[in-house]
Amino acid sequence: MNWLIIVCFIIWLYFLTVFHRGNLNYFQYLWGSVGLFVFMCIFIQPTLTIILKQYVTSVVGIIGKVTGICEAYYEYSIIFIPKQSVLSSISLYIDYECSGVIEMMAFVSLLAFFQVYEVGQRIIVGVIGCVCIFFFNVIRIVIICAIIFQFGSGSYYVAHTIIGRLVFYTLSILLYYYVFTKQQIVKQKVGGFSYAEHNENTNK
Amino acid sequence: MTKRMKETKRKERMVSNKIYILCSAIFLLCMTSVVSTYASTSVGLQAKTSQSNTSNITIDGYYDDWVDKPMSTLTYGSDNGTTIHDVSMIKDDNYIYIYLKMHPNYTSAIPIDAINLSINGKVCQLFIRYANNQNTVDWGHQVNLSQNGTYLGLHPFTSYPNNSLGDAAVTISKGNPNDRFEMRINIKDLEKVMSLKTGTINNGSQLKLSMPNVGGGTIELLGTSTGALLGIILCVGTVMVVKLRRANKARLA
Repeated sequence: MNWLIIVCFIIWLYFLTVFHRGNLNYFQYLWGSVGLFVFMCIFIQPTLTIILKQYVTSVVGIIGKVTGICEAYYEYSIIFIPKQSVLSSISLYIDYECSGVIEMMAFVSLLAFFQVYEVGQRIIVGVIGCVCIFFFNVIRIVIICAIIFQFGSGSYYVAHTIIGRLVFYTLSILLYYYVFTKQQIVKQKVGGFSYAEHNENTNK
Repeated sequence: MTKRMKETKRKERMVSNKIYILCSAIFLLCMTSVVSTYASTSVGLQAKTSQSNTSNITIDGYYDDWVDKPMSTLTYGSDNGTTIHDVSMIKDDNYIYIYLKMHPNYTSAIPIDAINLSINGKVCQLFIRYANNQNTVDWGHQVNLSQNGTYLGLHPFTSYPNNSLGDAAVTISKGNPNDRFEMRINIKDLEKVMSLKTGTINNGSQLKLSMPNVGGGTIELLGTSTGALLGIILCVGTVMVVKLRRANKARLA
């Protein structure tokens, strides 16, 4: 491990504690999120990508087998769309950009310092969010495969760049809205009232 | 509260809002630069740290390691299937692998020239030959395509620059199985030859293989990038816009 990374990690931790002690929540959030994302890229991403690539390929393969639109070679992270009426065969390879690993890391880093949730809640929401992003990605790839299977290799650009991404972005925005915006409104305290503590002696 | 105090408070709130907006913009910029830097540099890091998934393919003239790979066909069409040839193209973090098996009834020699590999629309024409000591084409040493046998120690080349891009093996045999070849192209060398930015091929690129001497059509290997950068900006941007609008509404109410 590069010593520079360790030094940067210590500096990041130190500033994080400074912002925490100074009750500078907003700056703690910004500093923490960006830093966590960077360090997750360095430490976790290589391992996580390998696992995610195979899982995404496997799940898409199961759906492809049921519907008959594609075959998965999960050992090689390749999804093969059999030749139809056109003279081209298409294989989709799932690399780190297709695995959804960046989106998951970004989501987790934004959530980790989001103080609307308790620590336990953040862990649960983080796990559920990552599972959602995983399935959003699976849906995106299945849509791409289905369009290519139906309309041939010429439809790849429309399927991948427009329709697939549109579906993925819409679902992701909905997730972010629900996790980061809606919950904050729900948890906002309206007014300054509080319930009085119940005391047995007051009735006597 | 006097009017002057209210005015001062309003101004203070405006200043703090501006600071928050500025910090948010810096935050978005940081995330953007981190994601883009990560996208362009981590490919190399990943290639170094991860185990290659397809490393079980060895260029040794034995083709049993292609049995479980996705197999396509290239053909100009024939009623008896004579010109329907099996082709496969896969990749891992370090190499692109190509396999060709001629139809058992096909009687002409296997074409080892005009192997067109296109990366994001940019075409590179490859051919298979022996290499000399300078790692360029040894024009004095040709593969005898009429003599049965397995020819090892071959390399894929481009015309210019004329350096070896990997390794290849050609097997000449009549009947079933017929002529075959397998080759492995080093991604870093190919990017250099094609003047592509390092990491382009492993960065959700579109690879197309066509062999006009074998059959029509193409074999395509495509990345399906999620477009992480745009996605994160959209998601974070939406949350920020909604929050700012809500804050403005609450202040006006």
